[in-house]
Amino acid sequence: MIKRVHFNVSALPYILVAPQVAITIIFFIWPATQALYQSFLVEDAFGLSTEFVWFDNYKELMNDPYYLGAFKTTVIFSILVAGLSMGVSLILAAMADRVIKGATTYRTLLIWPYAVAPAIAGALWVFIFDPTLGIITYIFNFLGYSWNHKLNGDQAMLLVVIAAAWKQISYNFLFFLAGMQAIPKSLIEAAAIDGAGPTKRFWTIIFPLISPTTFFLLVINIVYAFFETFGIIHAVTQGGPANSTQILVYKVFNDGFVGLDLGGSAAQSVILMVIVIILTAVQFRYVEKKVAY
Amino acid sequence: MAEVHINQITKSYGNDQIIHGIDINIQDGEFIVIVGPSGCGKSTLLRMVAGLETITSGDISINNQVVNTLEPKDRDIAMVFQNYALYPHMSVFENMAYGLKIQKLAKSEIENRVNNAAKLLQISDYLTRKPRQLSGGQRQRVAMGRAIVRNPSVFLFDEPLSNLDAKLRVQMRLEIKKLQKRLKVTSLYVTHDQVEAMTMADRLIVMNKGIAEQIGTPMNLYEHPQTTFVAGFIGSPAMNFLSVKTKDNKIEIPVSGKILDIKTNIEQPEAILGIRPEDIEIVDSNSSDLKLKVSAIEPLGADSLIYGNSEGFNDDLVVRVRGKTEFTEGDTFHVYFKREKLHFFHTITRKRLQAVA
Repeated sequence: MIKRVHFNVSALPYILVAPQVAITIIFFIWPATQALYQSFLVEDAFGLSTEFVWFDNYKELMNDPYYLGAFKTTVIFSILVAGLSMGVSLILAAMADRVIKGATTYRTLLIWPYAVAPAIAGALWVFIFDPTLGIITYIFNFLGYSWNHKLNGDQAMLLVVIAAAWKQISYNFLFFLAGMQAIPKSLIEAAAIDGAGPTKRFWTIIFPLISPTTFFLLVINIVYAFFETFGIIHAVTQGGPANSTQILVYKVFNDGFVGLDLGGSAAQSVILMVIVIILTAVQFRYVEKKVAY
Repeated sequence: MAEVHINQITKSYGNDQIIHGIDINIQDGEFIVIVGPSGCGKSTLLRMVAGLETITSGDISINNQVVNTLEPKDRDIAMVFQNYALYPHMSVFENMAYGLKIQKLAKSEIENRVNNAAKLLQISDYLTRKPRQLSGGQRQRVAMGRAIVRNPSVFLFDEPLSNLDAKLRVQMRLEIKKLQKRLKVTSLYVTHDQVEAMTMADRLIVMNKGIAEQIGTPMNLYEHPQTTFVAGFIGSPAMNFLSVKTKDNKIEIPVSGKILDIKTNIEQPEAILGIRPEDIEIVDSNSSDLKLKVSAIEPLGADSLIYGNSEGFNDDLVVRVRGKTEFTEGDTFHVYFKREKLHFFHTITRKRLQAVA
């Protein structure tokens, strides 16, 4: 049992938490409530008439092939982004863990992408893969492969996945490296004496021991792919071609601010809100407790 | 079963040389303890034998095969670490079986070996537990078990008992010693604890600043220390040292000016006299070598330590007496040095002088 300290009743604690509560209410609770309310309304594009329609917006979404398509796109996108960025950063961290000379430089360089704004990261990759100007496209053409993400949906998806994963690699790398460095050196040495080579050691000792980190990063990366990749999508493909990279967050924006279907857009954001609440709950429930040993 | 030969081994990190050419020949089945203060290079030496550190120059051979460039796994060794280094995500059984699985032994063989080792170490009841569910002593046994199941040629121990409490340490050191005698596996054991070193070793290596000061049986080192470092390191409390004048083949004790009735052939005008606390007797003034004033008393139960001082001495002289002592602080008393127990060392080289003719 945690021993609780009792204070005399006074206004001070309330005053101290007031700013935090105010911020939470103004920036989180209020907009969320607004979204919830708006998701029950149908409004014309000019905002002249509003009608309360209960769950009609949700029903419509559930029957909308485009929305369900966006859901599927999001799931594929998240799995690819989480898989790619975690896979690459795991390899980088495993190698950085063994580096002795120039380790600091190596690590610092790997952290840079995290400091790049999503839209800039997107623009960067757009340039590299531009169908007419891009250097990679040029190489592809040279090798006889035609790259045009403005026409080819799969290529567009691949490009946003690369851009989004690239940005997240730094973050994952830091956590993986920290996790690996927390493993006592003598464990690795003991495994080496027991006859395990570097690869065997990684999969039987290091990887199981960083599993709490891996699980934490999996949740973080899915949340990232779901909610924080708007800037990249917007800069790279704007959801196209033919909605092939339209993830849920992007569709909220597109339907609400381009299509001016505020009710439908609000309903979509409420669904996203529920998803993020579930993911956060999972994270709190398991990341704190789930330790493999 | 193996002989281990360490031949002119050195180790440098950049320009810092930390091991300066060590030679050791270890017989088959011998229990060798490397002892020294922290930073003397003893762990580094052990890790070079294990293959966890590279060798700057020299050779290490196990079973007459030079192993300098071999990976740890190819050296046929097993190592017990100070922090046990048990795999926290594996059960006791899996910990002990890990190396065997990598060797791709048959499942029945693995079970056989692990169960036998577990029985030997009395940990059969804990095989399904995770290391965190074990006490320090039990973890220590698992670490031993992991070494035993592999049937290595050489056991390496890196301060395996220093994380245990005092009582358990005494118990475990006896068990390790017995186990080693039973298995007859050549062992190399590193410790900073001279009691552990004395009690366990067949032969002892005292290391200081990257060199082996002396190699020999514990009693040999105790009775004939070759340097002041060994003399001071082996034995507790440490040997007392006095600067003495030597003239006309006689030895003069400072302060009291007493001329000892022994002949010497020391050529230098000065030498260091060493005498262990247990080799000093308390006597009456007639046969006194030195008069001291009590500065502190430490009762140990079976023995008492009397710290005596005299003007002109930097350090207290320690005297060990049986049982308890009647003296209190400030009392004066006379001491006599047992002549046959005197050690003499060179003032500069700190090496032993064969003083008595």
